[in-house]
Amino acid sequence: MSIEERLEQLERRLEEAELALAKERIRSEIQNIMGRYCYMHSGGWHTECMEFFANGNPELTIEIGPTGLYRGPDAARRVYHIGHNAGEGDRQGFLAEHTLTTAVIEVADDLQSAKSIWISPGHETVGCDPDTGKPDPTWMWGRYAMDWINVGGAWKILHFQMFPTFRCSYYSSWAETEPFDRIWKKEMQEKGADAESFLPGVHPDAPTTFYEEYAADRKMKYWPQPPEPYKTLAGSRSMVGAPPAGLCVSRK
Amino acid sequence: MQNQELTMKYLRLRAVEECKNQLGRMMYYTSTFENNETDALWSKRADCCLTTPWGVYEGRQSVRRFYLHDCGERSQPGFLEKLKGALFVHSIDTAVITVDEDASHARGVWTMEGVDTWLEDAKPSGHWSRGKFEVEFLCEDGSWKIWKLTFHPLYLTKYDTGWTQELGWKNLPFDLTPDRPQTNPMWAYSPEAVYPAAQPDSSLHFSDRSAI
Repeated sequence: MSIEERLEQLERRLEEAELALAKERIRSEIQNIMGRYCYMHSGGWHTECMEFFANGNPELTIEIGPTGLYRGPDAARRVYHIGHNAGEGDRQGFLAEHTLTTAVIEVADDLQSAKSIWISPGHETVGCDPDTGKPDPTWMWGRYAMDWINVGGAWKILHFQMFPTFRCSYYSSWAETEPFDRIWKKEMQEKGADAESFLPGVHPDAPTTFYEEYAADRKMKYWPQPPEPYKTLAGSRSMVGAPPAGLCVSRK
Repeated sequence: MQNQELTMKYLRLRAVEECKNQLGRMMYYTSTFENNETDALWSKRADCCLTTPWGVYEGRQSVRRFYLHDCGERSQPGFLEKLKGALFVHSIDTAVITVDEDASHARGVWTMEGVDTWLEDAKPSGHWSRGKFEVEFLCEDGSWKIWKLTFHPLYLTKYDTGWTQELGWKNLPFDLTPDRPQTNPMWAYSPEAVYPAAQPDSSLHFSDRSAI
C-alpha cells in the first residue's frame, strides 16, 4: 500500500471514529435531557420543562396518554406552562415520578436528528380514593417515544408522546383494573370537566392519535416500537402517533 | 477535530459510563453485603461525605465505619448468621450525569427502587423502598471514585401498605453511628407535604456545565 493510500485509509478511519463518537455524545446528551425532564416533572418545574422542546417549530407535537394532540410552535407552553401548572394545584400530597429504563436511542447519520424510546415504571399520587377520601397511591407504567432535532447544536424534542401501559391503585392488580382509556371521558363528564381536554385551561389541536392501556380482553399492539438505525429525518418512521398500517401486525 | 479535543470528548464519555458502572456495582454489593468492595468504590480523600436519612458520615474514616461497622461485611465472623433472611435489592435508573471539561470530576443523579427485607420479631418483613442518589465522583489514579453521596428518601413501606399510609423513613436494622444528624430533616413523601421543587439539586442546575 502506498503512503497516499495509507493516509486515505487513516483519514477514513478517523472520520468514522469522529462520527461514532459524535453519535455516542448525542445519545448521552439525550439521556441527560430526558432524565432532567423526569426530575423536573416530579418537582413541578413545568414552565422550565418547556426548554427541552423545539419551541417555535410548527412541527412540534406533544401527546400524553389521553390529553389529545397538541401541535405547533407553542405546544409546550400550552401543555406544560398552562395545562400542567393548572392541573396540579398547590401540589400538596401530589407525587409523580416517571423513571426511565430500557433506553433505545438512534442518532441519524447526518447528526441532525435522533429517535428514542424508554419504558417508564412510574408511580403517582394524584387523587383520592372515592371510598375512603384518602390519597390513592397509584402505579403508572408507560413508554416514552420521541423524535429529536438538532437546533444550533442543542438537542430539542420535536415529537413527544407518552403511551401509558397501565395505571392501577397500589391495592389493585392492573389485570383487574378498567383501562383508563375506556373510562376517562366518562369520569371527566361526571366531574363536569371538558371531556375533550384532559389538561385544564387548554384544548388539544386534534384528538388523541393512539392510546390503549392494558386490558385483559385486549390484544396489546407492539407500539411504540424501538427506533432502527437511519440516515436522515426526512422519510424516516416517526416514533409517535398511531402505528403505521401493517407495522403492528401481531405475529400470533 | 484536533486529537486533543477528540481525546477529551472520548474521556468525558467514558467517564459517564464508568460512573454508571461504579454506582451499579454499589447496588450489587449492597445485595451481597460485600462491603469491603463497597468501601473500595470510594475516593481515598479525607473529605469524603455520606449523607443519609439517619445522619451524616463526615470524612473517609466515617464512611468506612458505616460500611464495615454499621452495616458489616459478609466475611466478618457471625455476620451471615445475623443477616439471615435479610434481602436488599436496589435498582437504579433515570441517570443524569455531567462531567467537567477536564474529565476529573463528575456529578450524577439516579432514582432508586428497592426491595428490602429484614427480620421483625423473628419474621421476615418485606418492604418497598424508593429514593434518589446524588453522587459526586472524582477521577483518582485513572479510576472514577465516589467522593460525596447523598441518599434522598422518598418512601419505605411494607409490601402490602401504600406509601400514602405508611409514612416517614425507617432506619436500617443496624446499629447506626453517623457523626451528626442532618442539619435539616430529609424530605419523605407525606399527603400533607409538597414534593421538593429542586431535588436532586444537581440534576437541575448543571445544564450550563454539562460538557459530556
